[in-house]
Amino acid sequence: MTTPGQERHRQWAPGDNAIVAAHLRRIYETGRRPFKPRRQTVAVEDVSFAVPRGTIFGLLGPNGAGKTTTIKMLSTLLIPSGGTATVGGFDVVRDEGQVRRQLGVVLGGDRGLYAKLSARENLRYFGALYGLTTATIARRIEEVLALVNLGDRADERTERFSRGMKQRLHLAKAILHDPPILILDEPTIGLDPASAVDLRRAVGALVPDHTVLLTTHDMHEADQLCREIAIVDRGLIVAQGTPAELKARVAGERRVIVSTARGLNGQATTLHDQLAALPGVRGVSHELTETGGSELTILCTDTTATLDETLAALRGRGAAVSGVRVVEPTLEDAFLAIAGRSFE
Amino acid sequence: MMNAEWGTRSGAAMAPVSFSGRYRHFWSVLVTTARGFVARSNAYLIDVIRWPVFPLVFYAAMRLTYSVSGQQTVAGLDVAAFLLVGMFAFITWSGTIWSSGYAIEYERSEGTIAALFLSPASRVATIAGYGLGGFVWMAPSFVTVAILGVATGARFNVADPLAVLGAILALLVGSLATGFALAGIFILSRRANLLANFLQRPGELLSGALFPRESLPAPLHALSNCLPVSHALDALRASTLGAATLRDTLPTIALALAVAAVYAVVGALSLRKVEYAAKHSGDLDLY
Repeated sequence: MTTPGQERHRQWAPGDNAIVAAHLRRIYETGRRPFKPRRQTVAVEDVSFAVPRGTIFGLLGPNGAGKTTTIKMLSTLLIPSGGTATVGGFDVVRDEGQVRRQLGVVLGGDRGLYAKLSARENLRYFGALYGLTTATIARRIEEVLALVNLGDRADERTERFSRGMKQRLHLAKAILHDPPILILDEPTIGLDPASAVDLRRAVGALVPDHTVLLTTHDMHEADQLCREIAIVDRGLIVAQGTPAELKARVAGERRVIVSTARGLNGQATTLHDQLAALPGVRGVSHELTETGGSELTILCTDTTATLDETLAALRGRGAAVSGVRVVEPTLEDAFLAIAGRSFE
Repeated sequence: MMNAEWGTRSGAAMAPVSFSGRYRHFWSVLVTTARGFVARSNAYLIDVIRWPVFPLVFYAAMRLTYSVSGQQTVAGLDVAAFLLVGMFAFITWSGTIWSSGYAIEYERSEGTIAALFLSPASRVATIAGYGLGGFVWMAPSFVTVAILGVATGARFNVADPLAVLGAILALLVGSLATGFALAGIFILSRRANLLANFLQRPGELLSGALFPRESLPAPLHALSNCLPVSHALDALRASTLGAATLRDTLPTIALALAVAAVYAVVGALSLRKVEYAAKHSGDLDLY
């Protein structure tokens, strides 16, 4: 007999899309009080993408880009102000019940678990919410806890769990009902490097049986996991493609990183403008280092000329150069080239 | 599926998951929610202590108040027994308004509201589960008040246990329905705690838990008739203190259930609307 779970994992043809977003738009209204003017904030301007089944698709962008708002709309937590979206072929507004059955969602952060309940009790509760039979819940709890390496901590209250353990339990919760589609919102945020590696490995192993939509602001994570990436900035998709395709957009370019021993003392803006105007320069970013110095990152095609000009500009401002590096392009460079500014 | 590098997955393929039917799903959500509520409440020692003690102190204070005023009977009934039955309603009302009515707010403060609303579980089952959990959680309060009541001379006059059972069920259903109607309102409010406090005391006043409803001024008495708990408590007092049979109390129980049904319908309609409104405004999962 076919169970609803098997139906949800129905056969799919190559090119079949698990998630389709078409011109999604979301506006938040604030100041909805008598005698107060309303203000509108556009969180998502216009987002369109399609996620092929059995792949990991990344929404990459800085904080506040609109990634979380987009996945809230896809997972039925928010009603779009405009546009349409389907998940597993079901409309996120009209068929929200069907969409929820297709989905497992990991929302980032410490919350989302009952702190006073154990890992096992949390999973038992969420299994009931998703309508699993008692026998299935018991079996799946053991399976998913083993998968996320929490089998030996199953009966501990989650309030005693580390951030990494909670994130692993979030993932266990999301896959408990074996959904065909998973949405992971910043799953490794706040994790120590070892836990992040563990979690990425787990996410990578979910395909091709599952489709994963991943939001992240970690370039390395997106590069490592995703077959395709959409770069989101200020509520818009500014570029989309495979990691290789995105990096190819800056293939002829190099990243020149120049460090100074001290900060630029208010001259960063003029320096930025001067360097950005140089021929062959695609993007410039500047940040302060922990030691009180500055680090200039310049994405350019002509490394030698750009470096000469940069060093001359710094000398002209009395800045002491403490280091120079030239590196191969990364996704970060792609973002820098596309958005014209750094990621943070 | 997962690879062997992470976790301890066996090589065998996992069996497919099985889902319950619609009604079984509803029941499972209701029971698991109630169980979870009790388990979480038990985790706080102060709650374990205060809930049996609070009604006990309240009962003692009211008993002393009647005693100081020289009243040994109220509405023709023994004061101790009158108060004891009233406290039963008082505890049920408190338990349900702070559980079913407050269910959404609990989820919001726990940070689990998004996880709950992402699931296909019935919101009605979840809220009813909270109410049931609250009722079970208050069981020690019933016991302590009953012990004190009997110790201070409460006398009962029961002719038909079925009438008592029917009244208790009406009381529970009426309290749950009221909490259910309030739950929808609480979704839109991020001040549900204050709102619940604001509504709890008038509810206690109007239900006649501590004095006869007949002594209320006419406008308040009319308001009192709008609460299902008021009618259920009338039936409970009649069956436990006045030797009323089920035949005698059936009209009052039916009235309590009818008013409860109105609350339940209001709750069901408002819940869907306010969930939509909260998703539309974008503040469903904010705290």
